[in-house]
Amino acid sequence: MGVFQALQVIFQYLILGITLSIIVAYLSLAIVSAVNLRRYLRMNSFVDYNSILTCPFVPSISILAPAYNEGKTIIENVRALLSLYYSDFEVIVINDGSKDDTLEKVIKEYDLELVSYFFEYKIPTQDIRGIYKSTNKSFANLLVIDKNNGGKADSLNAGINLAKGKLFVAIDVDSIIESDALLKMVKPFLQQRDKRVIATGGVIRVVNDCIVESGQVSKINLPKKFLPRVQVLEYTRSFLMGRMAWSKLDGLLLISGALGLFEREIVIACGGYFSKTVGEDMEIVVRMRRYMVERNEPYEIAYVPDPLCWTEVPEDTVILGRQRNRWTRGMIDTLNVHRAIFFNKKYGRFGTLGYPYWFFFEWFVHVIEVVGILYFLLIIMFGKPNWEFFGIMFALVYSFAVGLSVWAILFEELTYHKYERRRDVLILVITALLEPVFYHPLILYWAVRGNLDYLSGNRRWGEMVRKGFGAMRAFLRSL
Amino acid sequence: MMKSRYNIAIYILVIFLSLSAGFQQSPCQTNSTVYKIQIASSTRQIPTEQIQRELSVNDLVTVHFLNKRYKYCVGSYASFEEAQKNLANVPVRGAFVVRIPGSAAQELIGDARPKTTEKISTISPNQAIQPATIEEYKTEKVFALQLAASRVFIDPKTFTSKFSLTEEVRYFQKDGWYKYVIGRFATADEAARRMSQLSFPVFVTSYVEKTPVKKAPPKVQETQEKDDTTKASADTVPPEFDTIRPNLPKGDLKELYNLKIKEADNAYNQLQNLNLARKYYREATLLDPDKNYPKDQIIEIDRQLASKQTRPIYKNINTAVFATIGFILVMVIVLIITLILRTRRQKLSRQKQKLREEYQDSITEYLFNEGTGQPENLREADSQRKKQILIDEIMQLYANLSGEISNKLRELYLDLGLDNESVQKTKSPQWHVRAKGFRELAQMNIQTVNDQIELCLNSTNDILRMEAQLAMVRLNFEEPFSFLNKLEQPFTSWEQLHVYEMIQRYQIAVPEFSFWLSSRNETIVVFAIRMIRAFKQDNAFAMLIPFLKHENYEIREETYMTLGDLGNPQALSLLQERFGYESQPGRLQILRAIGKIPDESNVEFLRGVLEPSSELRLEAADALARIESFGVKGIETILKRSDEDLQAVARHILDNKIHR
Repeated sequence: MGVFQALQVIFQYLILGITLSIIVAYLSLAIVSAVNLRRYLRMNSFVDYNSILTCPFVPSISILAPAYNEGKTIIENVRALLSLYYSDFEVIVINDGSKDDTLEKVIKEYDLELVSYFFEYKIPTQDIRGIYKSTNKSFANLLVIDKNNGGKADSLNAGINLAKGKLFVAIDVDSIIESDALLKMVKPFLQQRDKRVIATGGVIRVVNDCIVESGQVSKINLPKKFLPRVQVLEYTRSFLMGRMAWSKLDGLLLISGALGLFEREIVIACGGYFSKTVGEDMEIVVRMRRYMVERNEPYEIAYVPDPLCWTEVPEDTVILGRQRNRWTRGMIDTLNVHRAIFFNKKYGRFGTLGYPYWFFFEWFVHVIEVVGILYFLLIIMFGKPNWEFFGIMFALVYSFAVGLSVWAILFEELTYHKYERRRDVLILVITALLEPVFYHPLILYWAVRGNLDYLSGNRRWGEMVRKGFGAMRAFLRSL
Repeated sequence: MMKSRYNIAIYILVIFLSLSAGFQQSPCQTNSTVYKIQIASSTRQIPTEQIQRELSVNDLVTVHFLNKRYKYCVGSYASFEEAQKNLANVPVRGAFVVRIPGSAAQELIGDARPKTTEKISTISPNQAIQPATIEEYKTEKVFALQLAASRVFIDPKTFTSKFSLTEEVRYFQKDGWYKYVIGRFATADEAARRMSQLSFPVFVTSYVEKTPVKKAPPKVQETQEKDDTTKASADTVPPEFDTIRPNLPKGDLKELYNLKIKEADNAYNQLQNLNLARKYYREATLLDPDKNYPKDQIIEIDRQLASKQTRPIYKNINTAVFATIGFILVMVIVLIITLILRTRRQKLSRQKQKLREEYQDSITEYLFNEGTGQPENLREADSQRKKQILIDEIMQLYANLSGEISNKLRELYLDLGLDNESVQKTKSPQWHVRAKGFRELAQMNIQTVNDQIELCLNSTNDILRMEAQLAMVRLNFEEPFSFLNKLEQPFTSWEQLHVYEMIQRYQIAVPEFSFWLSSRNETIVVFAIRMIRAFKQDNAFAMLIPFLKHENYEIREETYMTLGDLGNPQALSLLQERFGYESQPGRLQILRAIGKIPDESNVEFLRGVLEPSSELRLEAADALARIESFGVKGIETILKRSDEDLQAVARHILDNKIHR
């Protein structure tokens, strides 16, 4: 009995501690982000991005667009990429062994021909079958790589091998990039002083139900369905509150795969994308940070809180479930591979704050939640739940969660106010009221599935890569 | 792929489910209702040690403040039955089980109020320690002499001293009054007799006094039953200290005592049942109060029990309630703010649009229609906001105009006194207002506050510093770039490109940038080299050479590129020489620079680069292809070689479809 009681007490303290720290952490992040967002917007009111366009000494950028079975949209997407505002950039489309007519369509539309392009496998990838360039001079900055299937990371690595730019942008080919996104993302690189800027991330927004014309969002609407709408809230919280704050606290661990700008030389030096994980976008950032710390070079991961990219979020539970499951596995994998960072002072706030935050609040919290639910069920079955107390606690947490979402809606309203109709705000608030009850259990379920899948070894790492793994392991060993 | 992982906040929901569940079962938790044994109560707090001493209680005494009284309790049990079972062990007569709701479960610390350290013996028992109320009473009408009455409670002792009384002053409550009385008489006559002996005015009064008739089986008393104890305040039930001692001969007592101690020790050491052991030791003390051993054991057991008792996690559930209300309030307020802001923003933006159109029409009419006077509506722009809209409109037009028309517009700006607005801004304590002022003055070419602007050239605020730099480039006619001499902060690429754009836009006369090659600020050196390259300042060639060996890679890189662009063949041998010292990125830049100066003398060097397997071959081959004597033919001969990689390089160079 004594042992059981002691365990019970320890458990309660653990849960209380985590809960309080989550509340405190979220509130602090929201405050840090509010302060910095305000400052950013004020500073940004002075910025004229067009100055970059006429300047001869801006870094060249390669846009890497991996495409797998994108036949339906590839033409439009490439056109949108080619019309981005920047003075010195190339677009590299990587056809990752699509089973549909992606390649044929691009070849036809852009007058492509096979060329004898010389390149080296600086980062090992799947075999490249052919490289295409356009005979039309207006598409002179378009390069298409046709390669065997190897996943997104592998495709990006192939793109990096061929890229000429000092910087490269990794994108999801199906997302819509704002036409001034490159200008906004390159600015931190131009502004670097004593710290070397190695990557920039930006805000991703939900495009569902918006009207898109010639590769640009022309009218912004709130998604009609609940599932994408609740993701609007999620993304707003994540990008305007979470990441904004983390970028200030030097704890940013993830730049979304949908859009990120990186220094090519450093990515090559640390071995390119890890093609054996499903969370390559997080892993590369963590590895780049480690690399810089190991080299003792001051660096910075920049974050632009402007909406730069629009993406279609899943509208049904099956696809959303798959996505979240994948995110979970990717996160665990990255945290696991780089566990040496955990509370390691050498890595500064990245090690003592950023990594532990992810570990506890993005991963461990699932475990606690599940244990908590099981414990709660046990109490219902064998004990006497104190419903009054439960009710009050539930109300507390619920009101906190909804309150935070409403705060995020205010952030959106104060910053970019993309949703014009007054009704939209109210709809978002109602969504926020429903989210904890209807959406969160699903998210938890998928996260649990992700954890179980990871544990059971089903990490769904694509097919084996020709030479890839060795270099990566060698890099990790060298750390 | 991974777009967002920040499932913020909602996680806590279910965590709290488990949290609330977790609080249920532990019997020691006081966050929910517990049952305790009340042994006394008082209106003012008394140290628990004193209670322990006076009532000979060894258990840990806890104090709770309920219904405006301090309740002194021992034990803490999850159920009434359990508490009732343990009641027998409490040596205070009249003790009873009491329910302590979660909201009052917070235990007061005994010494919280040091001022109540007065000795309990000097306090009238009915005011000081109220032993637990007893359920069954003998009621009796008593006569007494009333001294005084009050709506608020007064310490009866004050009357003792005031009237120099030897008798005890008691009080009882009736109809909301505290009545203070002396004496206890069976009849009114007796009372009247005593009254006549007193030198101060009193009158006879009567009240019903309840006295306990037996030690009643204790029942649970809801503490919510208001004032059950205060009502009995006039019932003089002094604490009777427990002296239950079996009436037995001394020898038997000793034997019994030894037996009890044995049982107790067994329970303590073998069974490790602390509660049982404590009960036996307690009984042993009753058998022989002079022995210290059992008392010491009880103290030890109590210590152990107290340390086992968990401290409550949530001492007060009210915190949670308040926090919830707080969150909801914040949420509602935030929502209201959001909606108000939105309405205001939309309204302002509509107004602004309207004003802009209005101003734009008036200005263009004034500018392009000869003979039109200065529009009146522009003078009416009186508020700060309207003036700003007007300034913005003029600035935007001014940027797109030139010649006489633009002069006319500038005059309009001056006539309307808008320059004063801009000048005022440069004196603002807020940096963003100052920066805006700088920008307006720069654009409208107003030089009156150049000194003010110069002060900000080394500001640590990035925007302010840059706006000051740009303003100086525009406003300092004699030496637009003199700010470079004063700049101590790093001159970032971002600032550089704006200065470059300024030069282009306003066609500012370009100085010899080689002048700043000697700057101690390395970022200014980078800028100077870039400008030499951008404006092809060939004169600077010789001055650039030392920078080939500069320790800062960025400066070397810029030098390579600039030498390539300047196209002076004298640079070739120097560049070739540097090749061996550079790492890959530097080598690449050198090859590109050399490629831009096609010259016979490169062939040997470039062939050397071509030979070893390296990723620089493509660049070297490209440079070779540009040299007339080597040219495409030379590359074609490479194709015939056996080295596959080299052949690929050659094919790349020869492929016309690759627009390089």
